[in-house]
Amino acid sequence: MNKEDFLRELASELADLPEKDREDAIKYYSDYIDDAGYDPDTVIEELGSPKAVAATVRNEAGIITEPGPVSNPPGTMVRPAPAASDRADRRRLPAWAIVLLTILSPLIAALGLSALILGLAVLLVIIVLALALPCSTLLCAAAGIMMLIAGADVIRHFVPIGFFTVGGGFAFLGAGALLLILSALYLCKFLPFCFRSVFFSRADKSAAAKEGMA
Amino acid sequence: MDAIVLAVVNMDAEGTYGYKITQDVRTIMDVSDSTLYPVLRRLMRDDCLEVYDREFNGRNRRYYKITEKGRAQLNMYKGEWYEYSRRLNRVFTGERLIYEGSGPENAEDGTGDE
Repeated sequence: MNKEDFLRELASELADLPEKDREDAIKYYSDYIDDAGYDPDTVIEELGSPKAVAATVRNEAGIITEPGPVSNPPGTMVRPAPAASDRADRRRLPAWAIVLLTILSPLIAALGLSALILGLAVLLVIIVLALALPCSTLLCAAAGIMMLIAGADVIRHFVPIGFFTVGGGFAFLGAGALLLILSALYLCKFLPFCFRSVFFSRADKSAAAKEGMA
Repeated sequence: MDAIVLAVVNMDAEGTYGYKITQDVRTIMDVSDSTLYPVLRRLMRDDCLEVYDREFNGRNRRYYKITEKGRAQLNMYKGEWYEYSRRLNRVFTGERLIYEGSGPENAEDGTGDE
């Protein structure tokens, strides 16, 4: 396709545009082809089809660019308008968030209260276990010792019951030994771990508060 | 894109023509032949560019020349670019630049030799 054919087809593609716009485009591409010095037969390979070129002429705002090394021309970057609308969007967000929070506030309060109660219950369980484990250890030991003493007395009068009582005493002493291990683990390992995790986070906060005051 | 075309046209006091503008823009970014006509049209519609025909090798070639409004627009783009590149620089290098002098003025100093 040579220059004349190309321009003729371009003109017919742009037939519905105002005459001046059409002539402008024809003039531009006529100059362009002359200045580029394209081989008359390869104009279409260089420029693209008249139809495609006509589409770019028609669409002044839409620039078709091929992905190049510089994809951010200065004219397209720092636009104050979108930034302002962004900020407005950010300011609008808390408004509906506040409404949502107001609507959900009974639910949130209930959830918060139950979380608090759950926390207190866990604390209570920890404290009760701390008391109950050593107590039951002592009780088991005491019961075991008493049953051994009682069994030793009974065994002199009636052997089977005496053996049974002494056996029960040993069983209690065994349970007491197991409980002793359990309470030792609980008091020496688990409780310090709990205190450390609670107090370390508090210590950080109080240190920050002290710094803030000073 | 508008800024690059304005800057390229601004380089020639006499004005320049379509093919040369395309070639100049191509030295910095990859654009197709038909990319620039819409840009030139838009700049003309906004009175940033004006056209005149001048004889060249026995034919009339259309030249594009920057207007006063176009030059003002270009200076604005330069200011934006200066500001943008300064911020980008700070992000990339992680340095806090000392604020000395205002940006756009420094950018305008380079108008002549760009």
